Order: sequence, then structure tokens, then C-alpha cells
Amino acid sequence: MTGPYGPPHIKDAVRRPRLFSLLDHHFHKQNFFITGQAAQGKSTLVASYLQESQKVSLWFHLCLDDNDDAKLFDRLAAGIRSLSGTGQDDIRGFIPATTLGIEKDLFRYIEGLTLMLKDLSFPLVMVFDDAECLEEISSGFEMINGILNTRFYRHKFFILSRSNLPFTIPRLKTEHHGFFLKNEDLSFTLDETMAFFQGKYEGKDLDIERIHKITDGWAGGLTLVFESLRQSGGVSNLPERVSSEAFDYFSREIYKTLPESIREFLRLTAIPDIIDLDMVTHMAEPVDGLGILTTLEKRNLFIQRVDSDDKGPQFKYHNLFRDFLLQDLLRTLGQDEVKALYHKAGLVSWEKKNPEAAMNYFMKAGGFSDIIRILKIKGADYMIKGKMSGLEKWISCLPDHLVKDDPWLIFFWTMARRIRGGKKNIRDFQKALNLFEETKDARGILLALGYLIEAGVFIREPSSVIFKWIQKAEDYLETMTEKDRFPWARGLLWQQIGLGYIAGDGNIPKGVSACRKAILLGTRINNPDLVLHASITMAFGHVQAGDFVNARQMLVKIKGMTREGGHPEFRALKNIVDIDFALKSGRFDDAGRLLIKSEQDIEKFGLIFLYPSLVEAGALYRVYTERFDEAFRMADHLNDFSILEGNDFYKGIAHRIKALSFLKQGKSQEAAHEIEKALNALDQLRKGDIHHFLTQQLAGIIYFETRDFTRAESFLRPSRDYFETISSDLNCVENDIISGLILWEQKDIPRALFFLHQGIETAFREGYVFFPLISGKILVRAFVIWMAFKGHFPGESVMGTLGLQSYPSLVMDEMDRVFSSARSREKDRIIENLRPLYKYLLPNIRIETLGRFNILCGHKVLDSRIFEGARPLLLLKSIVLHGSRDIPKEILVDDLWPNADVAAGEKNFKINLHRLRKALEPKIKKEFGYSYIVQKAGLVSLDPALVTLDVDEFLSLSVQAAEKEKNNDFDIALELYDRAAGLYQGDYFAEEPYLEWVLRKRDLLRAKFIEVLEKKARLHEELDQIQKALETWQRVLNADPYSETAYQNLMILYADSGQKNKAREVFEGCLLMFRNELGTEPDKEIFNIYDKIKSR
Amino acid sequence: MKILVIDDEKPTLSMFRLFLTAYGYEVHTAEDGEKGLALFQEIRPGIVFTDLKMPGMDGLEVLRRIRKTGIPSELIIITGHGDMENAVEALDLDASDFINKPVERHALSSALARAEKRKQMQKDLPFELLKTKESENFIVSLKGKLTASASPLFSSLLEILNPEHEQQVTLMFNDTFSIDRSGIALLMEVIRELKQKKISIAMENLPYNYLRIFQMVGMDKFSTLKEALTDD
Repeated sequence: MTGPYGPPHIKDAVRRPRLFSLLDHHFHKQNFFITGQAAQGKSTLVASYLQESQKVSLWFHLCLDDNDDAKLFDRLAAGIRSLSGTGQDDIRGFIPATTLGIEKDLFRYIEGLTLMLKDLSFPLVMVFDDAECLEEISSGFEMINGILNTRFYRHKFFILSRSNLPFTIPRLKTEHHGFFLKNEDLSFTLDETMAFFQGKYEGKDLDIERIHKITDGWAGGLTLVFESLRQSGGVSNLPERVSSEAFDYFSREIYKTLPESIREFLRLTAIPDIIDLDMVTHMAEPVDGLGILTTLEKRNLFIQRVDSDDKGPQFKYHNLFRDFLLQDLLRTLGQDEVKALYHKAGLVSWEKKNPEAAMNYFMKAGGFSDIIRILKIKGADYMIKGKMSGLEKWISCLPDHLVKDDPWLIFFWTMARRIRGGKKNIRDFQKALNLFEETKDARGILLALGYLIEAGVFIREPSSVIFKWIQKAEDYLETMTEKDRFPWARGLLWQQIGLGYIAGDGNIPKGVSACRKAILLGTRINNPDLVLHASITMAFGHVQAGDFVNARQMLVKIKGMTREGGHPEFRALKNIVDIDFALKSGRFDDAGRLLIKSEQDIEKFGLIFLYPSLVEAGALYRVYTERFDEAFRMADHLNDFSILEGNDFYKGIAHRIKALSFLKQGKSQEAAHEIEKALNALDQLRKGDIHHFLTQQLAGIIYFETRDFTRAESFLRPSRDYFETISSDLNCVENDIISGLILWEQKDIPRALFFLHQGIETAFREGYVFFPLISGKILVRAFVIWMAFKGHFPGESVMGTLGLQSYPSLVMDEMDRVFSSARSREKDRIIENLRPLYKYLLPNIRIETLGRFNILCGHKVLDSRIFEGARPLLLLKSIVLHGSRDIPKEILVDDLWPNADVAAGEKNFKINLHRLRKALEPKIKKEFGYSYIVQKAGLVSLDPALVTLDVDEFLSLSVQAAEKEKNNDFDIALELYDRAAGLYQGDYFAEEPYLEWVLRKRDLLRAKFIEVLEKKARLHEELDQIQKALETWQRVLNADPYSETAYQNLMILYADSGQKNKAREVFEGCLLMFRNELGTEPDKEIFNIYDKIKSR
Repeated sequence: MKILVIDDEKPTLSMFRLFLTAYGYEVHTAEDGEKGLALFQEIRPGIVFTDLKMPGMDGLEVLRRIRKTGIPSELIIITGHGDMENAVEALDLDASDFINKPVERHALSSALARAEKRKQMQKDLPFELLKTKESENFIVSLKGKLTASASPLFSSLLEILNPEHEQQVTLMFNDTFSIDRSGIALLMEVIRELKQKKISIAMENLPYNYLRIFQMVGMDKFSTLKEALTDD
């Protein structure tokens, strides 16, 4: 990496294999802490290591400015962007300042950098050099701390510092992911000292041991000794000890040997932080600056070349050396002259369009008027671009008297502590506003009013106060003479008015409208930041209003504006919308997970306005998952929040949650008590209509439960109309169902059925599976009535999603209610209409006949004792044997009682059929009769919807498999053959070996089974799945030990796969079987095959 | 300014953190007394809020131990609604203030404003009564901590008050004013005597939470109570 982020140029660095191998050995770790005294060779070591290992790196020389997280973020982000080849406009890592939060931006920056780093497709090494200039309490320090605490897996971080920095990294993490090189590790060993001087003094007899002893391995000392030797030629005059404290003395010794013109040049060029040739021209007399600097660099005399992309070569003095030069400069010229030089540097920087550097120099020069001049020119720009970080520093260095009466300075000063200023911000924005009004500064008035509203909202000023400012702002916008001027300031004010209305005054519709104006203005002037902030505020308004449909649409737009992951407000709002959706869809696990994520973001970024929505969602989650005590505690907490905030809105929501909680527990009187409180608190419509009507709807449902139908209807009707206008189908469904049931209770059957039909049809159409307000009991009642009269069975899949099978006894009870209230002429129709539902709720029966005979009812094997003897079971077997459908009862009688006369046979049949039915269906609903075994016009059937047979499935799978094979769907065919063969657990009715009427079918099924296996084996052969083919042919032999086809195929397969011995074994086994068991020989074909195999 | 909030209920801590951060404070939180005490010694906050009822070390014990450290800090006890006994005990232990749960915005703002003011002032001022007279209104300023030991000062005050000359006494509470249980009893006795003398009494510039406690002990039956103005 070259350019501004490249490592320092290293001239003639001594290679240090000892340290390189240590770094190599620990390079799987993430964080490297290189700590050592000044000039101990930290930078040289890391730069030469990176150069040799050719790792991609970014090198940051930290300075005091980097204590500011915003400035440090800008530098780091620019560095990473330069690597990823994207420009400043790239949105990666773009984390706008807060819209809804009160926490400092630090976490946003850390998150932004993390995202950018994780996006890099290659491993990166980031080096933070001179890290000791970061103060422990600074936000810049916290930012680095945050990065070091994040796990990146590929990227590495080197911290180069003179002192141990107190990063708060957990001990284990430090041990596992960190590597430390300390001062003593960095010290040059004797061998390394020899290497340092090797080739530099060829032929001279140097006492390296002595040099090593007096420098104690200090790299800076070695450089000084080297320089001293260069000038004096010997080591005799060296002091006993050369430590870093001796630097000053030593520097002077070397420095004083330089010509005065060079010394002057060095002194003057110590003024700028970075020395470039342009600055050199302005600061020093015309000399060959580049020549001097390059010579010093070549001699490694405490100067580093810092590459730059487009500004020509740049240099940076070592801090110790620069301090030394600055002291000398002060001693030579005096304070005033030095200040004048800083002023000059400021002017040069300003001319070079670097206002921040200029203000830094002016600050050192005490050039307050220059700083003020620049601030007034650039301040608003910084604001528009969201770069507020320097403002505080520069304004704080100005004398109070220059700031206190200047509206822009007061404004910028207050903006610099926009979030953390608390109440002071109200006072100061108000003061700035007054001064702007006195001077009729329209732009100032717009901005001061905007941020005054925001500050009021942040510290939760009473809504009356915020509304007063909003009115003032709206009046000013209305009466402004030059309506087209200052579009950004006007847009910003509209956005803050929106925030004021939504979060401060509680008038969400007006807030949304104000945000819309801000978005229009922002779009017109192409200011994405303004559009984004206004959009977030608007989405917040929708969430606050419970209007999740619009909130979701707004979030889709916001997602297009910025990166989803990198924007806390977007993420938190989206999580809340998703939680609502998950709760309404009955996906409680998802809701629980999202709640945790959302809580983390809201706490981390101080998103105070979203906090109550989170608590509300958390309370509802607990209501729906029946953790009512916890739900109550959360509702109480919401109430506490409401009291602390000083408005009744969340108090109303808290009561509504409690009312719902009571309703879900079946405590309708307590629910009614709470909902009345909620109705009082949420009676006003200013928060937006949704909460008002949601409360009304819940009140309607609660009063339905208390059987106060008139009151219930008075709430349901208006809320139904409202939800229809906003297309809130789920609310409409719940409303329709309750309205229908009220009308049902009031005996207004046609209208009741109209509403129930409307509600239930919509629920099916939209695929609703969970109803937040109505209970399972209500749903069952509505559904049974609807089915009884509409007679439309929606199908098992829809029924499954409704979950009615969870409430079988409730359904039966409701059916009883319907039967008892139905007129006699309607009854038969109702029974037939409800029959599918009745049957749907009965457990399925499965009869296993292949192998052991079993009857399973709802997966549970029935005990044969419940059949009161063998005959009922034999009757069932007979029904099964004859195909289960429409079997004339005479056939069954003939099977079981062949010798009985007709009357006796008929009687036996009746008795045993009754026993059989009763055993299978001990409790029946008399209206529907027995369901599993049906007898109609002398024909007996098993109901195919309720009773399934393994044999049917076996045959069906065999047919399906053959079909698939025919269509070349071999994989599916094999799977179906496999399943069919798996069902054949043994012979048909194996436990009845002597039952004559079973024998024929048993043989047929066994033949079918062998056929299935043969087809399967052949298909494996065709697909070259030899092992599986062998296994399957072996299964054929297990089922039919005389299958010559199986013997032949096994022999061929073994032979083809080179296992001639195995083929012979099969042949011999076949012969043995035929000769011993049947006393005969197998077909001659097998001998032919064997001969062919032998002759190979 | 750093603020430490100690409360065993996580939601309450979250709420305090959000609100106090918005007010411009650097907020630290602890979920029990032990952790709170350790954090107090580490960060030395200017203001501490502690819940009274916590498992393990309760709020009064936290208060005692913090006072023992000698590190200056304004301590505000969070008590249950109407829990006067504990509020008074906290005042006995030199709590700066107390606020009731659920915390009202006004009570919080008032406690913060008073704590910030008190931080600027000299501590441990002796109790003083400063008397001035404006026509028939006798104005008495109360400064420092009022305890039973101030009884002689009030006795001499009562002696000089004559209903024929003074028809009203205004007790003006200075920002340095604080009180304990014995002080409340003494003040109650004084206003009863003044009432018996048919002198009407007004108490002005009362911190919000003192006003609440004076109401709870029934001082509002003998005197008009006026709250101190705050920025809120």
C-alpha cells in the first residue's frame, strides 16, 4: 500500500528474524500490541515485517485530533475506501447521525467500520502508530477499543505505542486473540547490534559489545551512536549510558554540527504536522528542502517519508525530534514569532483549501478572528455534511466574549453538543434564536427553531412547550418572504416539526405530513441525508400510530436509501414492524428473537422514542404466549414510562394490554374495567386513529364476552368502518366474527351469517392462522355456525392452519348448541353440513395387514381385548380382505358363519358389527352415528377418509413406482419401490395361516412384493448401482429362496464386478437348495451362466 | 456529569439510562447494591439514584456505605409510592433527596436540579434562621440542615412573634436547606404553635419532594406550601 496510508519508508532497516518469527508464529491472532519507549524501533519493525511478508496494510499515524471519534472514523473509513476502490460516495460504512437516538455516535462509527472491514474480500493489516497520543477517556480511544473487541477472523490490528494502553478487552480474549511485544522484546540483542553496524564501518574496529552495553539495545541510541561515530569516528567519547533520556543531549550534539541554514530549516519545518514541499516554500527561506529532508531520511535521522497520492513527497519528524526542534525554535525566536509562524501556516492551509488544518494552526497562533471567519464560512457546510466533530474544539478555544453574543457561534457551539447537551441546549438554541430574530437572519431562525424543537423532544419537554415552538416554526415558514431560499434549512425545519409532532406533541398525522414536506424539499435539492432522516421520522410516526402497513412500505424505501445493517434507527424500526408481523402471524419464536435484537439496538444507540413501542411489543408477546404475570409487569413498566414522560398515551396502551391479558385469561369483568381506563386515556384522536379504534375494537370484544351486546356493538361498528378504510383485513376479520356472533345471539340469523361468512372467507383467503384478539373458543363457535349453515368445508389444509383440531371438545359442544337451537326441518341439512368437520376431528385409523395385524387409532395400537372376542376382529379382516368398499354383508356372513342359516347369520353379523364399531368408536355423536364403518343398503364399507390400509398403500406405491420408471423418473421410482417394499413387513394376515379365504390374496401380494423387489433390483442394475442391486436381489432370495432369476442375476453381478468366487458360491448355494429341498435341478440357464463365468 | 443508578429492576434501569442520557448525563447503572457500591468507588459519580428495596443490600445500606467512603456525592433515594417512613429514614441518613415510584417527570427534574445546585454549594452548613419583616409579613429564611438541635432558634422566634403585629409568617427555604426526622417534627410543632397564635403561615421555595413529604405529614393543613421554581 502506498499513498497516505502506506507504512513509513524504511531505509537500511536491520532484518530481525527473531521478532519476525515471533510475529509469524502468532499471526493467527488478531490484535498485536507493540509497546516500547520512543525510538525503540516499533514502526521500523512492523513496517519491515509487513514489507517482507507483503501483506496488504493501512498505516495510520495517530495524532491528538484522533481522540475525536468522528475525525478518526473519517480517516479510517477513507483509508478502507481507498483499498476497496470505492469513492467517498460509497454508502458502505455510511452511518448518519442520530434521528431518534440520544446516545453518542461512537457505536455507529464502530458498526460502520466493522461493516466496511467485513466487506473486504482480502485480509488487511491496520496499524495504529503513535497510539499513546490517544487519551484513555477519549471517544477515539473507545473507538479503537471497540474495533479490537470485535472478532474479524481475517484482519489484524497492530497498536504501536510508547506506553501500555488500558484497552478493556476481556482477559481470555486478550490471551487468545492478542500478542504482545514489549520494550525488552524490542531491544536489540548483541547479534542484532552487530547486524546494525555490519557493512557501515567496513575495516574499522568497533567495540560492538560496548555499544550494545551503553545503549542497552535501544534502537534510537544505536542511531545516535552511529551518527556520532560518523562525525567523530570513534566510540571513546560516548557516555556510559545512552538511554532515551539522553536524547536531548545527543540530538544537540549531532544537531549543532549541522550548518545553521539547515538548523534553521529544521526548526521552521517543525511547525507543520506534515511537511510538504509547498509548505516548506512558505515557511522557510528558499533552500533545497527536498534535498535536506531526503538526506536526513537516508541517514535515518528521526524523519520518515509519508507517501501521498497527489501532493508530492511528504515527511514527518519523529515526535521526540520535533519536540526538540520546537523547543529550539521557541528559544531562538521567542513566543510571538512562533505564533506568527503558526499563523502563517494557518494562512497557507486556508489557501490550500484545508480549513480544518488552518484552524488548528490559528488556534496555536491565538488567531481567534481567523477561526471565527472560517467557522462562519464553513460551519453550515459542516452541518449539512454532518461533520460536527471539530466545531466544539475550535469554538471552545475562543474567548467567551467573542462567542456569547454571536448567534452563529452560539448555534454551532450548541450543535456541537447537540445530543448530550440536555437542558442547556434549550437555553442556548433559544438564545441563538433570539439573536437571529434581532438580526432578521432567516437561515439562522429556521435552523435554530428546528434544533430547538429537537432538543425539546430529546429531553421530553411538555407537549405544550413543544407545540408552541412548532406553531412558531409553522408561522415563520408560512410568512417567510423569500419562500424559495434556504431549501435545506426549510427541509430540516419541516423534519424537526415532524419529529416534534410525532414524538413531542403526539399529533402523528400532522407529523407525517411535515415529514412528507421535508422529503419533498430534500429530494428537490438532492440531499439524501435530509430525505433519509425525514423518512425515518415518518416511519417512526407510522410505527407510533400502529400503522404497520405504511411503516413497512416506508422501511422498504429507507432500505433503498442506505444499508440495512448499518443504520440503527432503520434496523430498530424494522425489527419493531417485524415483531408486530410475527405476533400477528402467531410466529412467537421469531417475535422473541427479534425482541432481543431490538432491545439491544435501542439500548446501545439510546433510541428513546422507540423504547415504549418495544415495551408494548414485549408485553403483547407475553400475553400471546400466556405469560400473563410478565405481561402485567411490562404493562406497569409502560405506565411508569408514561408517568415519567408526562403524557397519558402509554398509560392508555398499558391499560389496553392489561385488558387483553385479562380477556385471554377469561376474566372478562376485569378486562372491562381495564378497557374503560384505556378508552379514557386514548379517547383523543391526536395520536392517529389506529390506537383509538384498536381500543374500541378490543372493548367491543370484551363487552361481547360480558354479554353486553349493545355496548359491544357500539364499539365494533365504528372500528369496523375504520379498519375497512385502511384495509386492515385482520382487524376486519376479527370484527366481523364478533359482530356475527352478536347478531347470532340476537337471533338475527341472516345478518349473523353474512358477517361470519365475510370474516371467515377473508381469513381463508388471506391465510390467517392466528387471531390476536379473539380466543380459540370464539373462533370455534363462529366456524361451527358458519359451517352448519353455509355447508362449505374449506379443506383439510385450511382447517389445519386454523388449528381447530386443538379444540375437539369445544367443537363438539358448539355443535350441540347449534343442534339444540336449530329448527327441526333444518336439522338434517345442518348435520350433513357439519359431518365433514365432525369427521375431520375424529382420529384416523390405520390397519396393518402385511406382517403383524395391527389397528392403530391416532398412531396408538388398539388392544385386541376391546373387541370382546375374535369374531369382531375377523369381521374386520373380512371387510379388509374384500377390498373395504361396498361389500355385500352376505359375503361377510359367508366368510365368518358359512354353516349358519340366513337368520342366524344376519343376527351374528349385526351383533359383531356393533361390537366392532363400538370398539373402534366408543363415544359417538348421535347425530352423526358411527363413522369408520358405514353400512348402506346392505353394503359395508370402511370410510376411506378415516381408515387407511397398509396394503392399499403398498399396491398404490407399486403402481406409482412403475409409472415413474416408465417415465424415466428413476430416482423417484426407486424411492417409491423402496417405500412399497418397506411396507411389506411380512405375509398378508400372517397370524391367520389357516384361514382359507385369505390364502389367495396372500399369494398374490407376496408375488407382488417379489415383483417390486425385482423391478427395483433391475433398475439399480441399469443405473450401475451394483451394490444396491446385489442387496435387492438378496432380498428377493430371502422372500423366495427358489427364485432362479435372483440366483442368475446375483451370479452375473458378482462375476461382472470381478468376484468370481462369490458368483460360484451363489451357484453352489442354488444347486444345494434345489437338490436338497426340491430334489431337482434348477433350469439349465443357470449352468450356462456358470460355464460362461468359469471360462472368463 | 456522571450519574449512577442502582436498581434491581432491569426495565427501570433501561428507562433511567435513556432519560438521563437525554438530559445530558453520563449514565452508569448497577443491578444491586454491591455492584453499585463498587461502581461508585470506581467512577465517583456526582449524583447517585438508588432504589430502596433491593434483594441483598438495600438502598439505605447503600446510602450508609457511600457516606462512609467520604466521597462527595448527591444521593437520591427512590422509594415506593407513599413510603414516608423510608423516605424520612433516608433523610436521617443524609440523603440529598428522595423520589417516589412511579417516578414523575417533574419529581425527577426537580431532584436533579436540586442535586446540581447542592453540588455547587458548601456542605455541612449550620442551621440558620434569618428574619426580615415586610409590613405585616414576617419572612424567615431557613438555611442548612434542620434537626431537633435548632429548637432554641425556633423558641426565640416564637417568642418575638406577636399576632397583633405579625399576621403572616413566610418560611422561605434556601437551596442549602435539608431536614431530617427530628427537624420535620420540630417544624410541625412550630407551625402548630403559630396557628394557635392565629398567625397564618406560608412555606415557599420548597423543593418538590420536600413539599410532598410535608403534605404527607399534614403540614398543608396549617400552612400554604409553594414549590420552588425549577427550569422544568
